[in-house]
Amino acid sequence: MSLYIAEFMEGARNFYRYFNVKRGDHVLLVPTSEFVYSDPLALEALTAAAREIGAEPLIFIITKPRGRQLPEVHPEPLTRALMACDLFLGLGIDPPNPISGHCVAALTARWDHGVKQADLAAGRGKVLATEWARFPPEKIFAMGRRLFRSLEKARAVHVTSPNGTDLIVDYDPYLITGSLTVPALEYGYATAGMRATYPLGVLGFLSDVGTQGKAVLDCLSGHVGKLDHPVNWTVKENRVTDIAGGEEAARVRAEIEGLENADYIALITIGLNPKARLWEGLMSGRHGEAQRHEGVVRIALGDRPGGNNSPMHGVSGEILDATVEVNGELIVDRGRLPVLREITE
Amino acid sequence: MSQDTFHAVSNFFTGLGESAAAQKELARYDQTILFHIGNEQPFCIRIAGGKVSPEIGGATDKIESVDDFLRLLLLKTDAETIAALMAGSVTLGETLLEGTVDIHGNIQKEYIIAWLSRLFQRTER
Repeated sequence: MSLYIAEFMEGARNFYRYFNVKRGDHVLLVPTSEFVYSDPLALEALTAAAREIGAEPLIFIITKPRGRQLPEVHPEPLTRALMACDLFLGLGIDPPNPISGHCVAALTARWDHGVKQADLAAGRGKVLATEWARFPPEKIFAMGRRLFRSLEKARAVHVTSPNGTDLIVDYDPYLITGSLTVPALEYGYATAGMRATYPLGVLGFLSDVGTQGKAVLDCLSGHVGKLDHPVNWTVKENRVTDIAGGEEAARVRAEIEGLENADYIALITIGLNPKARLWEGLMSGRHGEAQRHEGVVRIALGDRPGGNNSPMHGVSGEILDATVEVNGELIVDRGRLPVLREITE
Repeated sequence: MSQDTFHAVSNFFTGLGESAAAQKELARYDQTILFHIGNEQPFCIRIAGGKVSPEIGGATDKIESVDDFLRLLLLKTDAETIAALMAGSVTLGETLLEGTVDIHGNIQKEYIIAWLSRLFQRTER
């Protein structure tokens, strides 16, 4: 199916609104050469939408694939450009982002210069032309504010699912993350130094040591589609202490064995975007779109972003049809978000 | 218990107000920075409307509301590192990467971290 640039423009404009890009801002687009070949209209749309605002877009093409080992080193001209711009966006096909959140240059750009870092979510390209990229960021913020009002009153949520998940997640409400943070909710856009993946659609918890119970995962990163047999994670003190459930469980055990903090739950997210497609999203190895689908609960292993011993490619998995309860309120009800109905009405 | 670091940090921040450029940068955010430096008594630097008010103790590290979270930055480090930051021989980002500075909520408060980094480097956005 042929697409036209007009179909990418709404997604591109939403992107710049979320990141609060203004006239005179320098926007650095960092595509892989594969992305330039596969998704040229996205680059055209991002360039055109930046110019509509009066921002100054620049493109730096990455020709060498990102390595899987830390430290992640980029050429000096790119490193300097990351520090000098106001916002940079990594664009890849799969893996999605040529500049990771663990990259020293990216962290220095954010922490010392207040540069915003964006990633385009994993997929097979043409993401900006999809319905989930067109879903307005203002509605994501509205949902986030409503959810935060419930989450602020508690320090734990209870996650259950029909196939046996029974997990208590211990969290600090002021440390919610993902597309939404407390400062971003306050200001109504991504604040300086913030990193987020686009298209939008997750609210994340940095789970703490009180997290415990059982998570029964319907899907796992690296596996296309839903698992034939769910994988069970036993969680104690925010670490996965046992993994059970067939071949996929064995694969995960092997992947994390011997890696420091690879058993640590770094992040638990709830998908917020009703236009993100679940089944199409599960067709890519990283499940980028599926994670953002309304009501999907994702659990990601690995140390905190910026952690010195972080496994660079952590394991994650999703629970479909989850129910999430906080203080007696169901903020996710069998995979649906009541708050979405509220803001729509 | 030594208060040397308190005096040095107080002098640094109050001294920033003497430069017009730094004064403009100071006024960008209202923030109370609560410093925990090694075994020294905690102290805070309150910045409001570009005015700097240092105080020993003076701020709780409890965050119980959105306002607390937005207005309070908890920073833990040692005397050597804070001296290096004020001397400009290291940046706040570098110290966070090295793990010699710990900031509560560093993922959520990156805009304040970048602002504080510019203050230490005496630069402006």
